[in-house]
Amino acid sequence: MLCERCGQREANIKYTEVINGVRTEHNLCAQCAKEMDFGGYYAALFDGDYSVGKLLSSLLGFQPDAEELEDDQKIRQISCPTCHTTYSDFIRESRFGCPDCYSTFDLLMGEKIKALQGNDHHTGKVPFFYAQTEEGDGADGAVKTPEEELALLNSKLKEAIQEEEYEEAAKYRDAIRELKGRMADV
Amino acid sequence: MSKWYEDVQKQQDVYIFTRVRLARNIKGHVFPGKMEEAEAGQMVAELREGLSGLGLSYRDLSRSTDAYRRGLAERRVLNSGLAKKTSPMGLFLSENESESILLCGDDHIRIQCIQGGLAFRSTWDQANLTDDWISKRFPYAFDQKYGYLTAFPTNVGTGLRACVLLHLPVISNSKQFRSLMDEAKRIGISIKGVFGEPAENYGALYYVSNQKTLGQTEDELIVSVQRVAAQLAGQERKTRIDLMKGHRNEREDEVYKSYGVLKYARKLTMKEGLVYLSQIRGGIYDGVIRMEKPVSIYSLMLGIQPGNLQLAMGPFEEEQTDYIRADYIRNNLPELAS
Repeated sequence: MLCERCGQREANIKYTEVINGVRTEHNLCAQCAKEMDFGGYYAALFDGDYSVGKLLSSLLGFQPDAEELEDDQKIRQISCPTCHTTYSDFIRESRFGCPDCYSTFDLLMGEKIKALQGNDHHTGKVPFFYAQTEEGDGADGAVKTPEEELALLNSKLKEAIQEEEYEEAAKYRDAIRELKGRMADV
Repeated sequence: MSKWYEDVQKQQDVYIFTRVRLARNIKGHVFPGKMEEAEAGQMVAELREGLSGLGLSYRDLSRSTDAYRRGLAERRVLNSGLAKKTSPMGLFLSENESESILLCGDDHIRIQCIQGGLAFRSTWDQANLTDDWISKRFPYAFDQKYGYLTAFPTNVGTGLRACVLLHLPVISNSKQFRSLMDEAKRIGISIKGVFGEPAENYGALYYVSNQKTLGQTEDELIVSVQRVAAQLAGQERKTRIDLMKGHRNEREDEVYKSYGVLKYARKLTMKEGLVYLSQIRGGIYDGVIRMEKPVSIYSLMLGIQPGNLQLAMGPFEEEQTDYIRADYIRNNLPELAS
């Protein structure tokens, strides 16, 4: 199919527009699409320099509104105390500088990692040294203090609410109530 | 000792190899990308010392020739980005190249185990054992929530990349193959052509590997890759049986023509080499053509790439490459069985 704008080149971009619920489709060649300038996000695609790194960055990073730009600037300045990687560096290179980056950027990144990986909790094997420590035992679920269990239930409750799993959330709420009752009895 | 990819007994019709990679980092150190030259040098030296007990031979990659590194990249021991890296980097490699440990590549440690054919159980066991051995000597960077911490968030969690290489000369031509690749992506599996894009994937070799690394156990990830690979392999086998029933003559013609070109051409591009070798590989397993002695066609596919060609045939000018490639194939492709 030829491009509907220039009528000369092969149309290899399908652009769907929905305005007030009316849907129109356009078949364009890369050059015309670029000339029509659909805005920054798509423009990069037409430039043909949309590297995997950038693709990943945009998946992981922010696509800020104009109003959020100022906040965004501040966020981008946040840097890891250990290796001085800034959030901006991370967005550019799609890679972390050191293990501590994960905790530094956890709040900013947690949801993005979840989107990328489909999950945000490791369930696989545990290294030898880690398994030896108490922390490791806790993770195995072998020995848990009531406080740890409460924290776990609270985080599960939060997660369930976020994902709008209200039936699950109700179960956690009841479990928390029961656990708190037991803790008060002791 | 021959290399794992030369061992034709291990390879199967559709399954060329099974590979497991584990990315690991040492606690308390920045990742290699952020390291100063001296720091990286020290890390490589410490790891070299600590891992010497594994019995693999060691090579300082920052002092290796470009051809050697390029050859390693073509044999998938290094990735092509790392082959160009100039900062300190070390490599432990077993004699048959089936096991390797890369020091200070993208991560501090990358364990790779690779075996011919479909062999996830033994390949994973081998990588897992090496990982356990190292984890008793070096404290890994590990987080209760995120698991093994890696330079790229695409590897975090298990740090595991499980992969099989499939030879799919028939089904990769079908229209549905493209949508199959998209379908697999939705369940977290990537199917990727080895040489360029699917439309131009000369040689019909495809990697099947896990895209995600976090939230599933190592076994679960491996099983999901294996399942998709088995489906593809099953389809390929079935289609080939049908093809042999209905179009044996055409198939024979294609295979023998390919053999003729490879055996007598004086100049061969990489694309020609891969396409004709792929035809012959299919032909051997379908019983259309028989060689005087068994040959690993995959080994020839590796051999005709520029870096390995240079390692095998000695240095030559770039414009000579296509002539040297034709020589190499003539020398290494056995005669037909009488």
